[in-house]
Amino acid sequence: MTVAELSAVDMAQANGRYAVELHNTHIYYGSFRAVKDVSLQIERQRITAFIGPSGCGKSTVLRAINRMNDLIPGSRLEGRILFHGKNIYDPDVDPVEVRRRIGMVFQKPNPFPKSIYDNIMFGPRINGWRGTKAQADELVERALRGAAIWDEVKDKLHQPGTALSGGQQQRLCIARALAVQPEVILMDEPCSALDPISTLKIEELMLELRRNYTIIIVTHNMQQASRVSDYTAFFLMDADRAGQLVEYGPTEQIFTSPNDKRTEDYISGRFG
Amino acid sequence: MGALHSMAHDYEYLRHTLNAMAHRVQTALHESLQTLRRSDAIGAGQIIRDDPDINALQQDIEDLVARFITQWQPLLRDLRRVLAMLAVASELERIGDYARQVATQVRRAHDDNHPLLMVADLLELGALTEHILSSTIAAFLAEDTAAARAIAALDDQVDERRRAITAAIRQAARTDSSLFDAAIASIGITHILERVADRATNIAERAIYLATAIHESLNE
Ligand SMILES: Nc1ncnc2c1ncn2[C@@H]1O[C@H](COP(=O)(O)OP(=O)(O)OP(=O)(O)O)[C@@H](O)[C@H]1O
Ligand SMILES: [Mg+2]
Repeated sequence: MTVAELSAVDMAQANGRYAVELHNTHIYYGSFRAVKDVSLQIERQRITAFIGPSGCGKSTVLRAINRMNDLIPGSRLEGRILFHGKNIYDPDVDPVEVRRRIGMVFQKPNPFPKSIYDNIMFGPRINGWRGTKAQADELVERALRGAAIWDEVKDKLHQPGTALSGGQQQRLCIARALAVQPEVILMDEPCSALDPISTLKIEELMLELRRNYTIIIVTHNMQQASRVSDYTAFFLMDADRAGQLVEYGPTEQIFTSPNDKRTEDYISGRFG
Repeated sequence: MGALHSMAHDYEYLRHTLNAMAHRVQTALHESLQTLRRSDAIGAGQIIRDDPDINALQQDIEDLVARFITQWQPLLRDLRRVLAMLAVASELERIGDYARQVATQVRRAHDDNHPLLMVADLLELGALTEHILSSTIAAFLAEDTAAARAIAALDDQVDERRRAITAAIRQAARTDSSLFDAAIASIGITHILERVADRATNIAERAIYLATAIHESLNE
């Protein structure tokens, strides 16, 4: 059974509370255990922030959620990651389909050296797009509108995506992720290369997207995590440098009275 | 990180300024009670003239807190601490006002020649409020929640003392109507001192909030 096929079976679960569930997940790079025993349930149509010091495994966990780590030789995962109740690491699951339904936006905006239009159509095309020109136009417009960049680019759809500003490029990358109609969007430090205004635009966009999508964002900006996220997960390395989940809960609680002293110390900038 | 460029360093400076302001306010309150003891119109005038200095210190603290937040973007306890300092500075500014109001009553009583009533009792009440104020400031700066909670009991004593003094003054005024103006002024002073204790109790509540992130009311 593929992920695409299981939708019908698991529709009940699909409408449940969690978009993604990690159960006792360990992630290795060769013999190095980068992430140790993480269990985490991500709420549907909410924004969840991953925070923690550099090297604690935030990106590793994030990439595990859409099997991007598969592309790194020597990486290996133990435990289970459930999407619609199905373990995405089961042998019968197609990782390409997982990545279509769980999209990703990276730290540095990385549009392809193609036109804005072709950037958006790239995903649908590799997923076997069969629509008409008019349908493609419509899809492009919908994705660009969804990423709040349509008005800025509608007159230059055939110019290169790389000619846009950094903030616009990042929204183009979000539009590109939306074009394949994912359910979950993973964002790894999406604003770290952007100025404060572009950052606020992306944050507004995230709040807008939350109505239809589940978003997981890695950020080093505590103010950003507290501004946009509904839930916050705090990771830290243990003595073996393996990343662990220290505390997970509603952002408001994590940012007013965290339960763990280490969370408090990290958020207040005492170490990290 | 060098000692001159750290959140701890800037916080120390802020704390130092708040402490200086607290000291000024405590002195103003103490001096106003001394003018009451001596019926000293000249000393009272000095306290009234000095009050703007206290207001200026409050503005300094506001500026320092704004800069601290901009530069360090404090969170959790660090954020609550500077927000509490802002609130405490505003309580202290009001307490400075009350010291000025006591001085104003003393000067008016002197100028209008109606000697205040039950001065010894007023001074005793004043000493109690001074004690509450100094304990509450110490508890705040030390972030000592147990000491802050202990203030509530003292505040109850103030209310009790005040009721007793007011009743006695009213009784005196009833028997001798020439004491009417003096009675009004003296009751006014008990009221002012009670407000001082209330403001001090607010500072104690801030100390608890800063440590626990929970708003606790000590003023039931
Ligand atoms: N491709 C890789 N090959 C080998 N080790 C890796 C690889 N990617 C990450 N690691 C190691 O895994 C651990 C976790 O790295 P990861 O990139 O997930 O951390 P992070 O929390 O995202 O850090 P940052 O905040 O700096 O982005 C680190 O010790 C890192 O060196
Ligand atoms: Mg990372």
